[in-house]
Amino acid sequence: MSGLRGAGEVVGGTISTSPNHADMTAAEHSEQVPRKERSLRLGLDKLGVAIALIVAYAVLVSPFTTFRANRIVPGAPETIINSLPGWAGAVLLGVIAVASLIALVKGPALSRLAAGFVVLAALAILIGISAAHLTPPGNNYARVSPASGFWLLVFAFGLLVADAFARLELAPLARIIVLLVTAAAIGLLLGSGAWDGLSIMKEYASRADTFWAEAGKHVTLALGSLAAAVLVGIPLGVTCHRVPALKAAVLNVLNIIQTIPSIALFGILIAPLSWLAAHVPAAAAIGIRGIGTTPAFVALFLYSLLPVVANTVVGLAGVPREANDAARGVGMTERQRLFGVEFPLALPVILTGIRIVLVQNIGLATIAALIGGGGFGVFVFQGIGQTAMDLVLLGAVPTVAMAFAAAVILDAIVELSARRGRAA
Amino acid sequence: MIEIESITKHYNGTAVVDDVSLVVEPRTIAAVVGTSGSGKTTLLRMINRLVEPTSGAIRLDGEDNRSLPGYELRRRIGYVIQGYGLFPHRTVAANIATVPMLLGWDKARIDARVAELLTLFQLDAATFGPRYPHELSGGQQQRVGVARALAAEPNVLLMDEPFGALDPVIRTKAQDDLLAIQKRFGTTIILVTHDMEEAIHLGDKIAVMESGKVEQYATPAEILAKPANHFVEALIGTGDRPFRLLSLSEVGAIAEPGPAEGKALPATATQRDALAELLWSGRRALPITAADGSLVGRVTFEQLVKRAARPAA
Repeated sequence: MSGLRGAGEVVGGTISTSPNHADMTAAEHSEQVPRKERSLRLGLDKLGVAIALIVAYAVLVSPFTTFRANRIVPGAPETIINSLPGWAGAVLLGVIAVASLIALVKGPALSRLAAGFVVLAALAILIGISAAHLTPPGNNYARVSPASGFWLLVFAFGLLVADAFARLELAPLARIIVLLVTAAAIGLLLGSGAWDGLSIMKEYASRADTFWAEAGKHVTLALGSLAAAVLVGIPLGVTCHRVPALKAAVLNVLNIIQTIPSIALFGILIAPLSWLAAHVPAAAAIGIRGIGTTPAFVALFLYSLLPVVANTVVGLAGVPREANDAARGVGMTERQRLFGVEFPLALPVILTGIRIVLVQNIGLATIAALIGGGGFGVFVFQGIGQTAMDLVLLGAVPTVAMAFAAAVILDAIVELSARRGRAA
Repeated sequence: MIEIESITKHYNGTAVVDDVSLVVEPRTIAAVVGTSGSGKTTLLRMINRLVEPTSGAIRLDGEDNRSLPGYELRRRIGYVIQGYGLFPHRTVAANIATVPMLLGWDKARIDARVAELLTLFQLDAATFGPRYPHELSGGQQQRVGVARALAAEPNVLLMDEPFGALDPVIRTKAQDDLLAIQKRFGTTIILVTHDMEEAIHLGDKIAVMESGKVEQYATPAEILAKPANHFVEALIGTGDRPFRLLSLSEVGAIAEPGPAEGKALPATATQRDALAELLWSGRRALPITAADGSLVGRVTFEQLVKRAARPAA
């Protein structure tokens, strides 16, 4: 109960496997956990030590921002003190020092959470100020971008916040509310123009219209292929569960598909899809081509099948034998048993598969740009082509943010669905 | 009435149940006893057609059990299994309401029936109805399992080791509850168990099974007095035989006039209880009282010893 409460809880806390005593309601149980926290002795927090080391490196060694005369020349690294007006640099260093101390010493999760949030908020606001501070007045070509020190600080205190959240064992709905509030705060910062001086926002400003079109394509690709995979994968998983002979064959084929590199898969798909477009007029009419959105969609769909099918099979196999026997014994038809007993009990596992697929697809959809499928990958590959890292970030940051938000939301849904079906 | 006629089940050429015929009279309890692998569970599951027999027929109140689709047949037969098989994602009330829901009863009737059954099983409807199975103790889960099986008022109840997972104290209580409920509803029960003690306690008749065959089907007294073969004899356990015989009758039946000292036993206690009490307290006779507390008579040590002897063939 002492030093081991740390990074391990990030995993343990989100799944919440707390056993319920027969006569204890869930509410009574959840009250017990914070009580344990109070009995902690004063000492060093293991995760806090790691955070403090990262922070020390970020502040003392890494540059906070990079200044470039234009968007493609190599930049000059700047420290926190040089990047910010005098007062702001002092405030930021002070806040970081205090928060690192709070992270280092064992203490209540709520104060660790507050410390993490304060630093993250300070970083978010001050990085905007540093852009204005470093850019010479009237210069439209100069670029100021966050450098490794900034990102390390975000990572370190993000870790602190995530760990504190895990220790607080927030209810799933509360986690979603925190996510929404964070998103609103970021939206507010974006809308207020506080970040407009940053290089990534300058890239956005010159591509505002295509940005939202590509965002739409990205979401359509990720969600559409997921929906198709769910529609095909769940019935396929049920069939595999019912027909054991089929199970090994289907899972092996899906496993092999999963190992094909995405670029190779696009290549493999060009021939059959072009043939289809050329010989079936209806296929061509709905937009099927050898390159473009169709092969990207098909590839994402194929990659999505394995997690959906495998988790459906595992979920159904995990339904207690007695519950299935009783379901037959009370006179449920096969369909009633599937929808009334097997699906509800397998739902948390199936949803976990869907969560894996969604997060994976949001990331993988970037690759679609390689074959003209659109999405945020367009900016990533353009940026690589022009050696403009800011443009790469314009594609990468929204992708990471979307994947993160999807993970938080689906984790909450998985936990909500698991809560009722938990066996003693 | 349940008529089982030359029922046989083969798995891969081996007979798991081999040409079994039994008749269970209405409103009685038949206990099927056997070692594991004797085919007793398979026999039970052929009655509600969770297992389809290879040959033979089963009739319920004269009607062949194949005259309905399997799922409709099973809605009319109560079914309790070891581990109870409560649906973990449904509340206690929803578990009990399973069969009435499948039969399409209206909500008011279902609610009334659920409340009635919970009360009958000494569970407060308002407290336990909304709980989930994992919030219940083993004994409570067992009662909910039986309540679910009885929800649609079936004439026939099939029970597969229903008390197997309970500790001895709760098991005895649950067995007595089952007897009371069986008397109240007049349900015909077939109960599978590996415990001869339980079979003697609950069964109006006992079927002893080994290797898919019924070795003997008779009343408990007859099984104890005249075991058909060595297997049945071994299952009874020769050391416990006289005490099991005594456990079949109540002391009230042999009460005689005469003086007796010390703590009294109610007339409904078994003769085994009386013998145990006499041995433990070192008395030669004990008083017997009726339910209202009035003295009925006494039971003597000599009487009980005589009753415990092997009945004449």
